[in-house]
Amino acid sequence: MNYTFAGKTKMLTIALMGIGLASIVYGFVMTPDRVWANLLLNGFFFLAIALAATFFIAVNYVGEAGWHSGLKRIPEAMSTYLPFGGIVILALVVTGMLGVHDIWHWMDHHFQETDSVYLNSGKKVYLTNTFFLVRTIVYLAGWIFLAIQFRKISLKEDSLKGMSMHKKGIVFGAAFLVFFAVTSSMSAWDWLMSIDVHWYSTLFGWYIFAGLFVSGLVMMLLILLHLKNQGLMQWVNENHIHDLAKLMFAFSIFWTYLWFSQYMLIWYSNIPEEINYFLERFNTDYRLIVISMLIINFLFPLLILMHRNAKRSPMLLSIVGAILLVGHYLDLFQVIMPGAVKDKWNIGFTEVGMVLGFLGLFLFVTLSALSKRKLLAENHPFLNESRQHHI
Amino acid sequence: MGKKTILAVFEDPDETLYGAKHLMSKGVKIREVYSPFPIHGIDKALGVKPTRISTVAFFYGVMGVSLALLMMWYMNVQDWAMNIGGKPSFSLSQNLPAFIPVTFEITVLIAAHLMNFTFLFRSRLFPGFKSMNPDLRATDDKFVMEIVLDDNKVSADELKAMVKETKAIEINDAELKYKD
Repeated sequence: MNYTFAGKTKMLTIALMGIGLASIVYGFVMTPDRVWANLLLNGFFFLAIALAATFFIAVNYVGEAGWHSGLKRIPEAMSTYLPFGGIVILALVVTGMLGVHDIWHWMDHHFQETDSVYLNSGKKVYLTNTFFLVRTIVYLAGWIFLAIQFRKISLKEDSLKGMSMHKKGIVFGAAFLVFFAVTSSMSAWDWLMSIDVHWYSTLFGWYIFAGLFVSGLVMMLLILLHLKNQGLMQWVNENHIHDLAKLMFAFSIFWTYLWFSQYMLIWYSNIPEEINYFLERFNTDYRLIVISMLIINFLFPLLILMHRNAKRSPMLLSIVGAILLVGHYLDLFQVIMPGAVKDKWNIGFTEVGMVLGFLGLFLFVTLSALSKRKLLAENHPFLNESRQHHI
Repeated sequence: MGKKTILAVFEDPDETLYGAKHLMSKGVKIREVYSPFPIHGIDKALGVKPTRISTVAFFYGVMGVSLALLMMWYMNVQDWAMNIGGKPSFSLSQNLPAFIPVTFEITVLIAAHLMNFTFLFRSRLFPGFKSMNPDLRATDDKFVMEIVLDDNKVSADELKAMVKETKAIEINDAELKYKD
């Protein structure tokens, strides 16, 4: 049976988008700086969720995994959001180059000619306006191209038995993993780390990636639970949910590990150009955001998701999932805001409205893509493994 | 000395599992299955209660965290105050980041070892326990199902007839190696 995207759910996503639009207009009138920063925050957050879904497909192709084949149409649908998120980022880069906003304040010509740290490091070669734009286009084009290939392969497989499409998927999966290994780190440096232009951390890319993967898994699980709630996807049972929840749990811990490794090394060595990043976050009002996101993203899943029964309970998982999404939103908030808007931050109508708006857009794109295909990839060669999956 | 048992010997893990399910559906109580490696799903088929080792592990972990912090507090703050990373604050909470890696390692060490000991003890595999294995081939390439006559209300012949319906390659009489 197919999923039909209509009625209340559709109205809800459209209403959310309406709220988002209203908050953008309101924000541009009141505090335009905050709107630009929030565009980057939400643009990246939902792009990251779509990317995590693409990564999930690729890694399962390459690992020749079978357990996920019953639910694989969900990440495939989520990956269709990539172009939309990409346009937001691209638009931000272009407007930044035109000087409309100064999220990346190194884009300013005056800065590039006078800032001594910038001039005396490799940054004057790497962080130039044209190269930045080219890199952004390359990342987005590569991801979108490969995500479209995965969708195409999966659709062709529906009418074509045998291994041929699957083998093609493995090739594209390997290509995506290699490309993503480099670009996930680089895009994080470019779009997020360069906001604090004097600061650098080699771990930063993986830290962002870990948060991205958790958010993507949570979104996948929430969409799955929504479908199951409607009586669809009955072939996906608590064993598959358990596995998704295990990944969620494991990558929450992995995220903590990376956040802490970055923090501890900088805290320990206490070098002015590095420690400044954490002083801006711990010795200001941002402290509240940082502490709460650490509790939500680490202690909360650690204690709640540890038990086996918790990982198999849809009710509990949807609550934990929703809270984890908030946690990773706050994580990106404290990455972006201190550099982008400094102490003029707030969590008001602009912030809440825009995240709801982007959520509406994301769900609208994902769910309408989901309704266009069969929910079961019938000819996936490992489908039987997924049906019999038992842990 | 021990209670009378029937040993059903299987050659294949899947056949053992199907056999166990078949016998359980007929109401036969199986005491134990001995196998060279874990058989997926056998615990459910035999109706064994879920393990509580994960709950125990959590408390071992909590114990590990407390012990590690206590140890480092005593060593680096109390007994011989250390200047950590140029931050002579001499307090556990302010220097906590420096203590986290060691805390993590000690937590894993303590939890893993105590879990191991608990498991060995509970399953009577700890050095000093007498071996319970009724057929040594179960440590090599055979799968042995142990059915105690007293556990079941039917006669030995009826039991054997039921076991014959499975793919068991041998059906032997034996005695429990331990006092029940």
